[in-house]
Amino acid sequence: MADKLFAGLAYEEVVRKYTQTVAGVCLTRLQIWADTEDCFQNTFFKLYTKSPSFKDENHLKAWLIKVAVNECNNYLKKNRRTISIESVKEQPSYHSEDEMDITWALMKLPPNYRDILYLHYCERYKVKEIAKILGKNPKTVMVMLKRGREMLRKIYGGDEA
Amino acid sequence: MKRNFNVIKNLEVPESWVENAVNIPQTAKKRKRVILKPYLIGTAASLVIAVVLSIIIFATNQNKTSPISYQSTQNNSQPTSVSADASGTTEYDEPPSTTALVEEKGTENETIPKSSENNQITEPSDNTGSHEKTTTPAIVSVEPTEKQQAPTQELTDPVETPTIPTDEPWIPIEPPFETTPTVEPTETQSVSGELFTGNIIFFPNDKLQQSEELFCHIVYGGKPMGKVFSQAESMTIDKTDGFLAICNPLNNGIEMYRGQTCDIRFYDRKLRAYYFYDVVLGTDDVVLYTQ
Repeated sequence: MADKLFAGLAYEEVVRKYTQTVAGVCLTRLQIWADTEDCFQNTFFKLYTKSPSFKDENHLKAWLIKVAVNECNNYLKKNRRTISIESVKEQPSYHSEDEMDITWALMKLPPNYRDILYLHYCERYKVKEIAKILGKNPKTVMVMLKRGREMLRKIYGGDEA
Repeated sequence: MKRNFNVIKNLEVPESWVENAVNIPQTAKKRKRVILKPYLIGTAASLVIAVVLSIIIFATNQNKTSPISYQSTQNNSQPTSVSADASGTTEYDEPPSTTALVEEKGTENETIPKSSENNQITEPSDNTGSHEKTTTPAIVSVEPTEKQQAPTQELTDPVETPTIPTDEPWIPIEPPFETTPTVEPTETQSVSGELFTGNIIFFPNDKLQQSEELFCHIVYGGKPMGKVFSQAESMTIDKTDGFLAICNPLNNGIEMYRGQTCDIRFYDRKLRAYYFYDVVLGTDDVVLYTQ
């Protein structure tokens, strides 16, 4: 089916390996399942059609996250619409039985802060890497990370994330 | 206790998403066709627009160049030997004041001095506007020559050949001319008189430009001898050769007889720079000057 290789991985392998990462980025940004799926599919569609060359898997992963963020931003620009109540009801619940899970609090932060906190705490990226992926100044990312943590703490009322 | 983001970190992605993403290589080919369609349509449309624009530009250029080619052909068909260079017309705000000086070489003991007296008449000019024709002083001096070749009828009846310009010679030119001659030649005069074989030499003033096309319209015997823009009567100003214009009526098929009065009018292509002369034809060239 697909003979293309991306950092030594076949296309299907890439999809299965980075599904959660791309979906997480998109959902963190958009917070709507239907929109998340569109951006999710578009990200992998671009990967296949453009077929860029990657140095390694880290490069591939960073590229996927960057494309996913851009797709979400473009999607928000093109589709500024009101959300129906039905679609809101279909949204995944960010609350968990685990009391330590504060995803629900993360989703209450502004979008830019959500991206940075997600990449830092979920994808384990460092400040410089986040700055490179998002195209921002590392100091800016550092400040936003600090402020995001403070905002998060205020929301869930705990000591530390 | 450390906080975590397990919900978002361990997000349960629907399997349909993964399947759709895996099947992208199959759908990409189909999408590719759809993507190419607008591109092809845009390319075809731009080609059509380019062709149409080029045709329009070509057509407009053709329209612009056609008058020039017409003018050049007009100039090339000049019967005179003066320069036939194509040129644009110049504008004249006021009709120039003119003085006709008809010179005929010869002795002064002829019986035509009355005509010379009549010709030295000066009328005041009334330059009232840029486009109005004006009457200007005209000094016509006739010096007849070779009287022995002139017809006897002209000599015996010199009084009836007045050379005074009509009252309002600067009437707008609208072909054909409707001005009546001061004296209509009799049949005997026109039949018995000898043909005028000389040239009409005109020295225009400086308001006319080099290579300006000038039309010499001759009204003889009450009838215009050619159309207003007659090719046979057209002349071209030649400054390099003394700034003159030469017209040979006989060569142009216009038969005029000596001793008769004819109206000679000059105008440019825009019917301006209008000059008016009453001339008694002699045996030699008719030389006309402007002041």
